Amino acid sequence: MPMLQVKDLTKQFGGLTAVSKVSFSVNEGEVLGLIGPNGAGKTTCFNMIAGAMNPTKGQIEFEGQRIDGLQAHQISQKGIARTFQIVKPLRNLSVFDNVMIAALSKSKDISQAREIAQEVIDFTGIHDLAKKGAGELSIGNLKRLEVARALATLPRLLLLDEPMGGLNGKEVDQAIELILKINKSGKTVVIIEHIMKALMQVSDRIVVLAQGEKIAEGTPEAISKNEAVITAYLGEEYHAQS
Amino acid sequence: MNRQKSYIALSIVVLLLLPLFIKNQFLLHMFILIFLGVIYGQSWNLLGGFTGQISFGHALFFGIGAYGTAKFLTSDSLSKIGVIFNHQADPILAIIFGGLMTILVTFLMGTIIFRLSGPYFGLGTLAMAEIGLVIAMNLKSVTNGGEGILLLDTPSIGPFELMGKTSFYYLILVLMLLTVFFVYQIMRRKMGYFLLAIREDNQAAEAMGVPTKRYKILALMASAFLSALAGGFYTLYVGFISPHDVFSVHTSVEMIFITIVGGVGTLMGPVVGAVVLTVLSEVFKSYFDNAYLIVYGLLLILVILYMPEGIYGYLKKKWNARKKVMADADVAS
Ligand SMILES: Nc1ncnc2c1ncn2[C@@H]1O[C@H](COP(=O)(O)OP(=O)(O)OP(=O)(O)O)[C@@H](O)[C@H]1O
Ligand SMILES: [Mg+2]
Repeated sequence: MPMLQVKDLTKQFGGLTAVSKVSFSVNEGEVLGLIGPNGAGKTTCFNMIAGAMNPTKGQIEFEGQRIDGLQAHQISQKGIARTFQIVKPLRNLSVFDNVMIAALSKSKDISQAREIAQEVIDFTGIHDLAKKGAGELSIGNLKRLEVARALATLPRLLLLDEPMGGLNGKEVDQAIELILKINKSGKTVVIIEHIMKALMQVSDRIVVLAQGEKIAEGTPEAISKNEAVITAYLGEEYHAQS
Repeated sequence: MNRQKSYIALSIVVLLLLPLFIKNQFLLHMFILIFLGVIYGQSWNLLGGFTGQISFGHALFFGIGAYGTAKFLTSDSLSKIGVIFNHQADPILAIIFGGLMTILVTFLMGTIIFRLSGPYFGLGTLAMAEIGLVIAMNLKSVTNGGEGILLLDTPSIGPFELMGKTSFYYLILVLMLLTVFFVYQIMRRKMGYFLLAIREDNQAAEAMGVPTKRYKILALMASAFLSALAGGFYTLYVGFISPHDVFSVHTSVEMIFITIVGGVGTLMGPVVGAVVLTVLSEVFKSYFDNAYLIVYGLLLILVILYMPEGIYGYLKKKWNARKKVMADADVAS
């Protein structure tokens, strides 16, 4: 049985169908890439899985339990964590406190949360930043803080929404390394990313969305040769030119 | 840390001994007003400063606390509860009764009001306070309408009659210390960190596993309870309340000013704010007579413009910067 199973997931915003009857599943232990042109509905899928929005139609099952319709904090308790494409740091608090608060809802007290936070901060390599205010970080470090905070909730499934957006070449390499390390530590990952080279490197399988619909699914190799995928991306370029 | 503790202990001892030396009634009255201001500043700050839910209607809680206390002391059936304990209508029980009434109201309004956020939340609370005023004016059988409620008997706590400024001084001092301690305890626990997370980013807090709605309601209840304590004390101290005295926008605004001038989102902010604003408003009153509100208003604008982090926040920043310079100099030498 897959760890996460999404069936006929649909989301409408007024007249706009952002996600239309999308089905896919995530197996325990894998890294699944989720790609698609801008506005394809990737983030909206995450929002529904993570409980930030309710689906208009469809179901979501996590470890055999229906989770659609639950609130975001309940999803977090179930063992799913997400990062935000547009980062959401707690700006006036330190990096350490950001991570510590994420650990708090799973801890019995503050000292236990501190221990978890310290471990996660070491794991993600941000100890030099721990005392800094989260509002002072560069975008690269903010993206790492997003990941650290998600990890601190001790998830089994991690949803990463463009963790490499805005990073420079060296930072992208570090991010790839971190994602592989997270996966090795036993966590299942779904990652949305526009940087294809990086995505191909970390993903076991890839699901492709375009205009709200799933148009392809397969190994990185197969996806890079898939006609429908190439057309969808070319189409986007034509739009950009016109 | 220990030095901080000894400063606090020393201040408490000084405050406890103060009435032995101060015989000036007006000065005692000033202290009472300051302590009252600290309580409702802390109350507003807990929800507005720490949780980021800016309310314009805290007079509602102050008012319910005031009326709850007055009703407890004046209605035959209610004050009997006090008599069981104490042979007399007990003002402490009366204040607690006012606080519980307020918690009941916040419990009912919590789920509705937190559907709103940002400025809409502020307007929602303002409207709720206005509704409180209208009810107090019209529900004559309970509130005696616009005529208000007058306390006829001098309340006493056990053998101690609440007569004269000194006894009120000690009552409000204890309430104030309990309030500050209460807020301090909340803020160093899980709940405090959750409130800060909610203030900083509600959606991020949810994703981190914080049940934001539940904690916002808890913060509202705690905050409202503190305002109710202040309202209850007001009833005892003044001995007379009317709807326009206790449900007024002026009370709501005063709580905001105390917090903003002192320092939003800090434990010491409302303390500093209450001292500065109470002293200044009394001084201005004596110099400028009725025009004092203009001077007071100008001062507020200046503080907000030039010290947006409040007086305490500003001093703390200066102090930290100086410490840093001195530490750097140490390293250099
Ligand atoms: N809260 C919302 N209200 C209305 N429309 C929305 C909302 N969120 C997303 N949309 C719309 O839904 C569609 C899908 O958006 P979504 O953010 O899921 O795309 P995406 O695949 O993540 O794109 P990107 O790669 O640019 O991040 C877009 O047309 C977007 O404008
Ligand atoms: Mg997106």
